[in-house]
Amino acid sequence: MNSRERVLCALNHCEPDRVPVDFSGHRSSGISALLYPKLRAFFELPEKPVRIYDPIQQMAVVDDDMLDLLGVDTIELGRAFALNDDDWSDWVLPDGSPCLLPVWVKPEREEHRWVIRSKSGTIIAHMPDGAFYFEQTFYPFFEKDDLDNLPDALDECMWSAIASPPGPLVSGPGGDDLLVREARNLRNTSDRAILGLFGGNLLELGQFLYRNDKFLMQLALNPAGVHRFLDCLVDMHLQNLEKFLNLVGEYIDVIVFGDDLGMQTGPQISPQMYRDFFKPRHSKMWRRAKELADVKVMLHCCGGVRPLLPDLIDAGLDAINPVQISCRGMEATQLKADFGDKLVFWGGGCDTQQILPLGTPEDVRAHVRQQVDIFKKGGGFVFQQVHNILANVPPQNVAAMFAEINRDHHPRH
Amino acid sequence: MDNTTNLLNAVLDGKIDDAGALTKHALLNGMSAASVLNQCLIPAMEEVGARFQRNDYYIPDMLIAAEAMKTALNILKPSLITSGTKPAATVAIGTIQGDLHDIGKNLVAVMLEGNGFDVLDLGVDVKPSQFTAAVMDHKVHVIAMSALLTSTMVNMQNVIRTLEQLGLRNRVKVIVGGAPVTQRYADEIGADGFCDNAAGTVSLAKRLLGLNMATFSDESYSARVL
Repeated sequence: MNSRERVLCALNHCEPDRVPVDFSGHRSSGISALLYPKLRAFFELPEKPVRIYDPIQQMAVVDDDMLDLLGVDTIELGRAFALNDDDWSDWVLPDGSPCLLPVWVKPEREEHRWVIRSKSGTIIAHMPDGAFYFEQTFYPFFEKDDLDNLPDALDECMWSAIASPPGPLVSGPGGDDLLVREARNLRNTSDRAILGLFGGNLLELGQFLYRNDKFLMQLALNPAGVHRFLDCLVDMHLQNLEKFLNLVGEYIDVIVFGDDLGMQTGPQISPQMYRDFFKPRHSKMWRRAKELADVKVMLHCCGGVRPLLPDLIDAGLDAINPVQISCRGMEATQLKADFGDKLVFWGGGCDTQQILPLGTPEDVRAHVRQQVDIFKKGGGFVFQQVHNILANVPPQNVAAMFAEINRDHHPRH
Repeated sequence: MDNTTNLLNAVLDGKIDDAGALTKHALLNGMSAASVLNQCLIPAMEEVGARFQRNDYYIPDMLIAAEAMKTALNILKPSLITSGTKPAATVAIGTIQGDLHDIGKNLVAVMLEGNGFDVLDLGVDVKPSQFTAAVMDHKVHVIAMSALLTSTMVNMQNVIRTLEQLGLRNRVKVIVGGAPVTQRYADEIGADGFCDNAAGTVSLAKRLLGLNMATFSDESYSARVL
């Protein structure tokens, strides 16, 4: 079984030869740029420049030698782009060490902080000294929304304006050709399962455009206005989906949507509110994706979302990520028992809030063994630590996590 | 239903305009501002908290109830000031140094305010010196710290250490929360309390300060100023 077959087998609820492993296949399974060189040193891999593919969260590109060493079965479509030196520019990490940023991301130094501006010059994100990531500073619809100019508003919003590769490399003349060519090339040269990041966020984009609290209040106070906004958003998403999958659908295996619906103690919104506002729209996008290409639909959705899982499954979801097992209602055994035959758990392999950063390597191994034993039965499981591995995690704990998942076989070298 | 019940329900249901109108009506009918606060608004927000903890209410319900509460409170404020009624306690709240997330912190602030606390919101990326300055300058009774990430959570103990170094530790209660924070971590760093949700934080703060605002009479409310 090669990596792609292994992932697809698990996604089809069959037990593969071994549990497939995702690491850095999307923007919530990666590793901090501050930690990445330490992990390379721990594994005695040669030093390489640290490339930050996700400037907001400050996540590093994981090089092929490490993917091979750790037996990783996934790759993000974006890894096929920005392969030339002139796609990157020099920058400096918060600890003073050098790194590279995509050339189109241009942080500016201000007193005590870095800022990033939109095309129009608005400061849309900042990273104060002492912080390890950028945070949104501007909410284009906070004062007043403008649904006729939604794409312009998205250009003013940190999460949509600051792109990971391929980003602007595939916009403009020749962009579509480049996207297809490099996607095909990746397909032909890698046997890893390819993840295409699409997004299609609904609740989250409301929160990013209007500001979190305002949008959540609008859901209760102004349902008609929220429906109008979501209709415009879904129209735009469907157009983009059509284009994206027509270009690369045949080269990717999984399309990744995102919408954090949960928090530590449960869903942010009631299951009824999910059904009223979001479920029909998720369903429309996910079913369309499957009509357009032979892809599996994965949703990245943080938090305690167990009460929403029956509706997400009903809406056509194949795989849920990151399976945040430390949240209320997300206990692995019960999740697997109740939903394991209908839903793939992409994640939940290792807790990143307590055990990975704070445990001993032995704690990590015992925990990973337990999680894998629960989730792997009958397939329907792709291993991933619950979220990005942050800067403060001891490299030996990361090594212990992968040592446990690779316990019974030797990854290719 | 009488006006008191109507106002309580208006807050509970997040009917912002109704809450404002019913508050004005109550004052016009001779009800004291402190009575409106103690008999309608605070009980309403306590019920909001209870429903949130039972998963009957979600964040949108909590936010609109808090907004209705704030609208009513703003109408009461001039009368509260005139009558010398003060909030029972002041809480300085902030997201810890290095961390810029504020969704959870803001929810806690909203619920504390809604339950009659004076809230000094220090924002995000709050340094230990800002927390200690709040204790010295504003005489806060509680410091509430939040973190979303394990990489920033560690800065919480610097605040407690700085309070100790300045001899201020015994003057305030320190409570902590946020996704990666646990009771065990709170104990390790010597915090006075931990809670994993906004509604529970209100009960925690009250318990630590020995307050039971639900049962206050008008007189005892102002008498309980710390």
